[in-house]
Amino acid sequence: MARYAWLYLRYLGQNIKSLMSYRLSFLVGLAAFMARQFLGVAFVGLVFAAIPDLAGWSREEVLFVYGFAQLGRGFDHMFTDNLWILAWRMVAKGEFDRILVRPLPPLFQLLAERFQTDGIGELVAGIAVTAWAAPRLDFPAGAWTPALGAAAVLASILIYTAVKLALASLAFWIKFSQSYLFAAYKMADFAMYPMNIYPKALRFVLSWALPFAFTAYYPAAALLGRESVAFGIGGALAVGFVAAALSLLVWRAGLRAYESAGS
Amino acid sequence: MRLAPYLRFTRNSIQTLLAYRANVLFYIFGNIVQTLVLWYLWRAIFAGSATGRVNGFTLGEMAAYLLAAVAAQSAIGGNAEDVISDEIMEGSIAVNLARPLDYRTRIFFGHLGASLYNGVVVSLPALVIALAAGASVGSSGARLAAFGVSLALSFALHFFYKFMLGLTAILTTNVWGVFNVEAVVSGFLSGALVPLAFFPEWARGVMGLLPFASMVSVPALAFAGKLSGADFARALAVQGFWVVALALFSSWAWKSLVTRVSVNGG
Repeated sequence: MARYAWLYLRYLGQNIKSLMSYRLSFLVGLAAFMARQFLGVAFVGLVFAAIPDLAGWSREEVLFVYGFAQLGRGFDHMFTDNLWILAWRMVAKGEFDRILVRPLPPLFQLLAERFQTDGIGELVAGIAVTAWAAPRLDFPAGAWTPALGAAAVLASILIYTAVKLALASLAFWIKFSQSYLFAAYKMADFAMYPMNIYPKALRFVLSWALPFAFTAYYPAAALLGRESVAFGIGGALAVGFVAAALSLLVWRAGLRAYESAGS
Repeated sequence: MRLAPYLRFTRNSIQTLLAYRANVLFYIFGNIVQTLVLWYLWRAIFAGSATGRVNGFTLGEMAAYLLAAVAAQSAIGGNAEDVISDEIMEGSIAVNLARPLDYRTRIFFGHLGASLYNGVVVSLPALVIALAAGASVGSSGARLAAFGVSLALSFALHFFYKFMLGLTAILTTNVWGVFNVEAVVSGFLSGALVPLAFFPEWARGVMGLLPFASMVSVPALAFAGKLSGADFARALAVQGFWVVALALFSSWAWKSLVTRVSVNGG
């Protein structure tokens, strides 16, 4: 474990060196994701200037869900961004060979190879929005709220990473699976707003097929006392661990199916 | 100028996009999802209003506005910025500059192909699904015509804008980040997500000075029947102004930046 931590830091050091040589790119990426989040907030603000509540949710509650949704997403974005590259070109161009010939677990190498600073932008925006909304709301769990919140963020990271890992692993069979990831991430956009504005069928898909509703909406609703803690937080953790286990199975099967590119 | 060689780029760009059919399906799906998120959100917003009107819009007008905005966005979408930035980063721009074709005209015709493709293949399914989900749109021939005229001007000014955007690849390597910021900011300022009527007075003042409203808001308002004759004429004049201004500005940017292109290797 200590060895992996040390190795991860070495990888991270290399990443930071390359960031230093593209300083403007780094700032642009950070700004991009912060801008996206803050405009999302501005959108909610504009809408609530015109109406008192959204399907029974106040402005503070909607922003809490919105901010909360960015936390797990931001963490996942920082640490597992190389999965996008796997889905995009690593398999198609045979670049994955490089990882297989080294004496370290392939998944560790893959994730450690890339630290995505753009995710910091999402995370900072998420923290800012959540921190703005939280003091304006009542949390029935009282002193337990931060611990429950942390558990929910963990669940959210697990769900995002699992969906990404499973879909990126499809590249081992079909070579290019980035469009699947793209479509799944579009679905995640539904999760930023309260689920009760959507029809039943869509809610079902977002809860049980691509469980993005558990990345933010259900846990946030549980923290606000609108769902039970057992369902909102416990359910999110259960879904997170099951999804992570399933995605690891897909990854393993994918590794076995991998055949390098020709020539 | 003979058009035939350039029209090939239009055809070519459509064929390239059609060649990756599986990807196309996913992009169509992504667009449908995005349209549905917006539609359900606005439906809930209107359900929360006591009068059934929000900032002067009825739900029907809002549906018409949003669908027209989706259609306009994809029909002016094109891919000029991607093509230019790819060529700059790969270095193939060097060969393309040496060809006996005007670079900007060539990019324009490729962009036209991608826009036609986006407008038809990508946005139509999203519109059909949104209509099936209950978004009702009443429209007349006059409104459709107004939409078309205004969309043509949007297309022109948006092309010059995208052309300049592609040139940013000369200045930074993180074009992906730049395009991302741009997509978010212009999506917001153009009225593609929220009609400009929802913005506070001061913000509308600022947006009136920028070209974004001329890209999406004007055709969408025309389609939703929210512009009177005089307002529509004025909006068209502003669009025309931006076509000319951005054409001149992009020529200047092209002339001053093209000399700075540095191509690696070979």
